[in-house]
Amino acid sequence: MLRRTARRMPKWSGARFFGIALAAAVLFWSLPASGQDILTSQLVQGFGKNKVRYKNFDWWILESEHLDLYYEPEFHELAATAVEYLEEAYVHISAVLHHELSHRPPIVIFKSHYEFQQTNIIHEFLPPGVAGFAEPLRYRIVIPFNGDLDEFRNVLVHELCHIFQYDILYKGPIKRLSNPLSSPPTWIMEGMAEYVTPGRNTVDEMVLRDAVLTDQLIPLEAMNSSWGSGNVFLAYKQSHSIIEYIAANYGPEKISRILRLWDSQNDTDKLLQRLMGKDMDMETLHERWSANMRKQYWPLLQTRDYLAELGNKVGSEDNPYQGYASAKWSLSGDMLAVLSSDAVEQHIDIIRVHDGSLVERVTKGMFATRYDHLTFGEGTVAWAPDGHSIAFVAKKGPKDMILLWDLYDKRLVQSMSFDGLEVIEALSFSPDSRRLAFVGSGYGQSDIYMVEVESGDLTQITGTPQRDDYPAFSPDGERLAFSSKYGTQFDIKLYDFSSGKSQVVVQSPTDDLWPKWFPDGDKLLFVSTREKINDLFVYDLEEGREYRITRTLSGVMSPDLSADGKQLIMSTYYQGRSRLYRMKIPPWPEIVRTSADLYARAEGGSAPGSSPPGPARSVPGSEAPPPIPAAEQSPGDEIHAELKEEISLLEQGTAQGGAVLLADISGSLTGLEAEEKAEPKAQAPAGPADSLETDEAEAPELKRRRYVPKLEFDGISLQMGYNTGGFLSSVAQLSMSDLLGNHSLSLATDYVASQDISNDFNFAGTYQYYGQRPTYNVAVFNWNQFYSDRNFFNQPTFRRTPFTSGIVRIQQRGALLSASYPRDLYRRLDLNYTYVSEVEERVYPQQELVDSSSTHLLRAAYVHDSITYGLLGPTAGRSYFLSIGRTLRLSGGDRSFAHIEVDYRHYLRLGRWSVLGLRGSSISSIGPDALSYNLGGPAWWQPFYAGFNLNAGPLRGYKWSELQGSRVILANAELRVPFIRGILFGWPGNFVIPAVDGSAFLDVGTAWDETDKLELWPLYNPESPDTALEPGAVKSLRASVGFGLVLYFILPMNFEWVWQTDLQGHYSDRRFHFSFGQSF
Amino acid sequence: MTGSRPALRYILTWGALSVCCLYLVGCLELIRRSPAKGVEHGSAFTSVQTREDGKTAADAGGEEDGDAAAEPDTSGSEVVEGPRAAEDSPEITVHDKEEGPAGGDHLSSALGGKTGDSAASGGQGVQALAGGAPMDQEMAGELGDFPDASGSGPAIEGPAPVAPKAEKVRHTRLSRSRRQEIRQVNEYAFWCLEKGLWNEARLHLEQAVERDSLAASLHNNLGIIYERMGLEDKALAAYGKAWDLSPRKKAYRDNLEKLRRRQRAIPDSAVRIDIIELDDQADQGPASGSPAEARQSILAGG
Repeated sequence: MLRRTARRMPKWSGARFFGIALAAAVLFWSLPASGQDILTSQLVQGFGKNKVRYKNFDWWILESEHLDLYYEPEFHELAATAVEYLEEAYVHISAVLHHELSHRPPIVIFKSHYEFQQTNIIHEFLPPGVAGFAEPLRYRIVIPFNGDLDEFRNVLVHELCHIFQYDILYKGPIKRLSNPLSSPPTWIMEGMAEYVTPGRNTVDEMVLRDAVLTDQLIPLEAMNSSWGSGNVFLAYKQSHSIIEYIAANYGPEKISRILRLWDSQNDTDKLLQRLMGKDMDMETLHERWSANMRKQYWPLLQTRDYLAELGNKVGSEDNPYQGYASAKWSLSGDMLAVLSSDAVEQHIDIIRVHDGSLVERVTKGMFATRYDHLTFGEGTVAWAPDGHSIAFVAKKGPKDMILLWDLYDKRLVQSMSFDGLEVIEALSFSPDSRRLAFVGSGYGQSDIYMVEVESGDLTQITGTPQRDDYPAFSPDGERLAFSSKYGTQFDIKLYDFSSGKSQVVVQSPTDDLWPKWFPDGDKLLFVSTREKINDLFVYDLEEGREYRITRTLSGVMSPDLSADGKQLIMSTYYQGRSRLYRMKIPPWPEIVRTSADLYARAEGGSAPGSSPPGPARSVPGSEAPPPIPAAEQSPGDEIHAELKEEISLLEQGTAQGGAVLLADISGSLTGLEAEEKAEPKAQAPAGPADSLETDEAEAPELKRRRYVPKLEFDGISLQMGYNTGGFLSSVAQLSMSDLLGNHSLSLATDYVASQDISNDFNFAGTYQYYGQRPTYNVAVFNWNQFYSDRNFFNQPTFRRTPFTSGIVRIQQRGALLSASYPRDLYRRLDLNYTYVSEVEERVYPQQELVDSSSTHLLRAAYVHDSITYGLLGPTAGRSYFLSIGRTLRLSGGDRSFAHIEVDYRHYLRLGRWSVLGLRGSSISSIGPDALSYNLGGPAWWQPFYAGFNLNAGPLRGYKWSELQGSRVILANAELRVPFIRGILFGWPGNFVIPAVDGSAFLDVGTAWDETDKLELWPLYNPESPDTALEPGAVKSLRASVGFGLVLYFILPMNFEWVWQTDLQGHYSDRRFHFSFGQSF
Repeated sequence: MTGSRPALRYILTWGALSVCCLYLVGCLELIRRSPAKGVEHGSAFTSVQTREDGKTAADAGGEEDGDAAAEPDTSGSEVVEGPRAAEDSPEITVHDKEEGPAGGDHLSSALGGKTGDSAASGGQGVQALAGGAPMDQEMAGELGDFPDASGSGPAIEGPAPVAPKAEKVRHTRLSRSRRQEIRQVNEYAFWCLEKGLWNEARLHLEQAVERDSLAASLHNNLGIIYERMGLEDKALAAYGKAWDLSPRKKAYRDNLEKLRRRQRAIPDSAVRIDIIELDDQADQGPASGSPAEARQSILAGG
């Protein structure tokens, strides 16, 4: 269930992203004015994971009354449905906010999350938790279909509300750039978007209820920081509830007023005063709202049980970041296979039932080599009933695959992926372990499939447009129980393999989920969301009656029965965390008695055992069910009236005999079911051409056209500056891209002047193409840089020629061509060609040519980066690159050198938090025009330093760029340990310093020239006279040891105390460094 | 371009060094991850399916190696002499870590063969469960050094177990894949024992015995677990079956004899553990304490 609510978890703030992007662009383009050397910048090789474009998309546009929907013809039906949802949502939001959009928002939909991850509208990697985003500059909404139409609709509505908010606040696309208005607090923006979104599922309720009952509500003043470092999920739910509270107690019209008042009032307390009266501020609102919440939820304590009263927790409280989910029993019931996460790494683990201790890590060593990442969906791990193998789901390339891990061999033995099925969830083995049922999402819908493990033959079991979920084989393997969505709620159905027909067995106005078979094969355990709380029920197939076995406070998710049917493992959400509980299933008579007791308790309590059997919803043909007590009916039940009527008719019909077929419920399913039986292979919906023709007939009012890329403004930036050399610089940058972000064009100019020189005009243009798997970049430039003897940054190491007095201009003209081919998420090959013509001349006091040269540089690099990040930055994994470059000497004035660089980094977790980082790197520039590199000092002063691309580091304990040479060798080891986690400041303003860490490190390295002699041992003795800087001298390796503090606030800030050493007992005086960023 | 040749040499040198470094790192990584072997990606059904079912070249080679030890070196004879006589029985000699490519170390570790615990087993290397039940002899490398069916072991008091006549036992030759499966089950059972997961080991061995009722090692190992769990009647039956299937195996006979001797020495009521209680305690590991303690007791012979 968490998967479905992930849409309300982290969402990308478009404003934040574009702000950062813009700042980065400005920083980049401003650097040339302060002295960047374009040639050497092309020698810098970066790390980073890849955004792989696995598919060449074919985009079309569907135009409705208020918006344009971008989609692919292969899921045209889904697009048409999305348009319906959006138009309905437009009317609804427009009425709530009293606003009409000034522009037609473009909505881009993808048929799966994995295709959504390939969008170029945002170039950053979109993690699995991101369910969609809206950006304020061009009003674009980008959303994937996650397999459930209701969830899809809800995300569309949520994001469309954000577009309305942007339009009210900023009055139009792009105007966000010029509008000085800050955004309202996130809790207002997100709470409002949730407020207009229909429905709140039981997991939403579970999170909020847990926070109220365990006193973990987030104070309103600290809510904004929760989006950065706190419980984001709770922050969404709480924001939603507060906005609901305002609407319910102060009038719904207040909701639309919030944004309009914000236009003239940027202080949240004052905003609330103007909105709700003078006695209102954030603290008061929080108190009143939380009191209301307590009144709502605390009475539940009288009639409901903590799970701790019903069973035993699996796992310990030692590690609050360790979470288990989707537990599945082993053959003996002594172990569980679980999805395990410790906030840094995700694994499939085998744990002991009684204490949660780790028995075996199934996925040890598989990350990045066997798969891109594990799929942490519902039921994405399953233990075969024969106990031999564990199946789990992981993403590799563009889609999920099922991996089978053999328990006997302790290794992967099989992997399966399926054409057209991108997302795989809810694995379930047949009793003989030879078949595997699962939920597959592709073609714009989610259905149940079955694969023969030996042969790999795939069979599609269901084919409804709505979601089918949680398949479970009966003990004889002849039937499959599953949850199937009809209308707005899930029912439980049985699919009979011999007849190929489905039959509804459990229906209620609420969701009936996770059916599990008891070993005798005539009873089903399931979870139902009666009273908006997930509880356990047993359905007796022979009697046609259901029995309640829990009334929990926290709710139950993902239950799994042990092989003997005597134990149950389940997930719940308690004290802000997902937890596992184990519970014994009582004998049948006791279940009957318990059910009666629980219903009696809910009704106000007759003596245990004296009440009649609990209310039993019936299957067709069974006795009539007792009515649901009025107290148990949720307000949302009204919306199911129509459905209930249908069900009633259905029951009447079936009471007269015979099984209920899906076809009886929905005529539209008849064809699908019949088709499934006739053609058991996985079938894609009708092809694009067919779909288009059909849909054209069905929806003639929607105009459709093919997408044609057209460049539009992304932003313009103007920047003026004055640097220490006495030069005035005004940089203008214009960036454009097409709506889907495949084509990007940037133009930049820089007008440079000083009192001593006349003006000079710089220009650079860049075109980037991201529409296919390889990405391309072309740039042309004419860039001038000036240096004077007043310039602090003018270092002799930067240029080959000694500096002469006066003002020197370095003109760089040329072109860059580059291509990058990502092999997968972690590996890529970069190729680039650089042509630079440089003229270095003194322009003041008189014009004089100093030097001129041109360079043709070809370079290739292979990059691997599979590092996982945690609170201490890089936490686990490794990265490396090998970069080789060579200049082409096409004429006498061309520079000639070769470049080779290797960098290897490995991060090892030591215990729960600490990290040992190891790094080795080597740079060599060889040839008559070899470049000289700088070494010495901490790692991250480079952005403020001219010619920074020729710096290597860190070699702490030495002066900044103390060593120079065409060759550099460097090794670093650093132990990072946590000191403090989370410091919340209340003044000035609310902000959080997430962590303060400590480090201890050892650096060893040196730089030397070809004519120097390198001595590896002994190391440089800091207590002896230093003769190493003399030409031709013996260059010893230099080492340093030290410790430091790292304070994480916006950027990591390092405070380091270092000693030079020869590792033989000689040390220098202590030195201190301050720097920004990770050392490596 | 005067420096082009040295430059080229330098590039080649550094390139080679870099490749070597990366290769070395890769090798170290592979060694580090050696328990998790890879998945080979190959052809498939409707889309992509990859399998690694023991038929790959690497594993086939492994099987050959394993079979070199497990395969009887005679053909057609019912009673096999010599060091590999023990292998003539259908069971797999999973205990010899030199004979198979997979899991040998696991097993050896589970038995204490690679640790200081091995000293407890003496030069013989025979492990004994509580009650003194020795495991398969092959693990000690004494493949050819066991007595004939007439028995030259310690004197047996009371009614000695009746040794089946070797010539009357027909050993059905199992396929390599079946032997491989038996080996895997035994290895898994030992892995479970080391983790203290007795019930898990029992269930897997019982499953395996249902499939391969002629595998003597499965019966013997199941007998050990039954005995450890207090199910002595079942243990006696399992030891008997193992000895019946492989009468030349001294270890099987020893297990049976020791259990009978112990039963005579200690009243049944004192050693029997109620199976229902055991089930309830299944998730709490062996009744006598931690897996390490359990193994120590195994090694100490009780």
